[in-house]
Amino acid sequence: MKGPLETMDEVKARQGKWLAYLIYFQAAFLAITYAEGMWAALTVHNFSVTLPDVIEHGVASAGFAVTTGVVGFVAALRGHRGVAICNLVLFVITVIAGSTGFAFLSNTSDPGQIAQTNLSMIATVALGMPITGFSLIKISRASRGDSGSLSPVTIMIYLALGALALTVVAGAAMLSTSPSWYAFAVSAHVGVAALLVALVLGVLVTSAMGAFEGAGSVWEPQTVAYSLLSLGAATIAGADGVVFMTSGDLSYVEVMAEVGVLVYVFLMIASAGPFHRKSVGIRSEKITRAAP
Amino acid sequence: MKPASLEGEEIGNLGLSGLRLTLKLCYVNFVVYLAIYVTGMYLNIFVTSGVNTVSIGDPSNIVHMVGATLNFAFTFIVMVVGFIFGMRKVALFSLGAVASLVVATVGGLLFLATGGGRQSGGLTLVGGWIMSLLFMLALFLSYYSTLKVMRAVRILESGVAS
Repeated sequence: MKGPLETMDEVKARQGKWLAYLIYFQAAFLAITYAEGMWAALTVHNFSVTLPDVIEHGVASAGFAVTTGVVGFVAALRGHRGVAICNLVLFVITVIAGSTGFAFLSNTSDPGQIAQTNLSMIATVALGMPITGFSLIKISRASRGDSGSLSPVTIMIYLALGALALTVVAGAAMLSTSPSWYAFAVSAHVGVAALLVALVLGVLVTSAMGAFEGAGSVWEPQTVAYSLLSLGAATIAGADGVVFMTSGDLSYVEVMAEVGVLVYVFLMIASAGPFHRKSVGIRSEKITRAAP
Repeated sequence: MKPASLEGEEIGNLGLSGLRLTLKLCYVNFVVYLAIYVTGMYLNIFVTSGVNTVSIGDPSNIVHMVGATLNFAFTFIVMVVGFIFGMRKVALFSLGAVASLVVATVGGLLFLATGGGRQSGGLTLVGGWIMSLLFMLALFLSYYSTLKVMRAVRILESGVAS
């Protein structure tokens, strides 16, 4: 609601902040949906609609679908055409993937149905990761009134989210597709995961050097800290993958998936760092003024 | 700056084009309400015939649940638009509809989980009644919310025309 003394610019800034919070919710629902889905896929053997794991996964995915629709519609109302189109397409895909889940619950032993459900849901997660990242960066840039070119850190975060999405798809394909595709899926998963680690390292190094947009040469601690956490999570997930390949113990895949989703969460927080730090601009201004 | 209202009317700060888009979403939501009603009746009369059970994977049940998901999402979007863009009545009516839909969904899950047929027991019937009654309440509240959006569009249009 608008306060009696707010100017139109303040109202727009507040609405932009709301939209950013909605994208955070959307990302949180996506992370929980993925974590719950992987947990259920690897530990549950008799699926039914009343199983707590299935209900939790269903509620989280419904939350993701709803927040995606909300973000898409509110972005359309505020004139962010790219964000609106991406999110509304993602909304439709999420609903279709959800319907494959309903079909799976009535026929839980059919391998074709299992593969169809796994791959459609993973494809949705894979699309959701870069789209939420793009939406958050776009909205936070618009809220700051920043219409300049993208910084190296932002570009690397985009690429890292894309690489993470491909890693997740290749990982699911390893478990869901025929043996003839297995070797290709493993190679793709390992290769793209290595690219992901390299990109997260790039985000860390570049942000530590103070090259985040709008920050000038000011060091941005939030981006540095969260990209460091993201790198740590990616390293642990990679180590789990190596242990799984040597031991064959599926519980390591479970840990890899649960830790892997943290890479996404930390990258999302790192991506919108300066949005919550208005002081960055003020600090750089003070530094410039203080200089003789 | 004063809140955007006109003698007790709420026009919010969405603008005419945004309000028109929201009104279109409300209309689409009513089409979805109708689809849910039709598929629900089809399930009740032709699939269960009042006696048989319905499984979650039945195609008409999948269409019914996808419709319910879309209906919840659209109602929730109208609620958020009401809150963000300063239309208190739209937001509150839609909030009531969202709450009704949540309880109706729980009723539907109870219906499916306890047998999915009229003769499956008292709890199944309770689930079915909760689902039906709360669905109607949600429809009623969405209708009022749509009227408020429509009213805001009319006021702005008359302002633009004059």
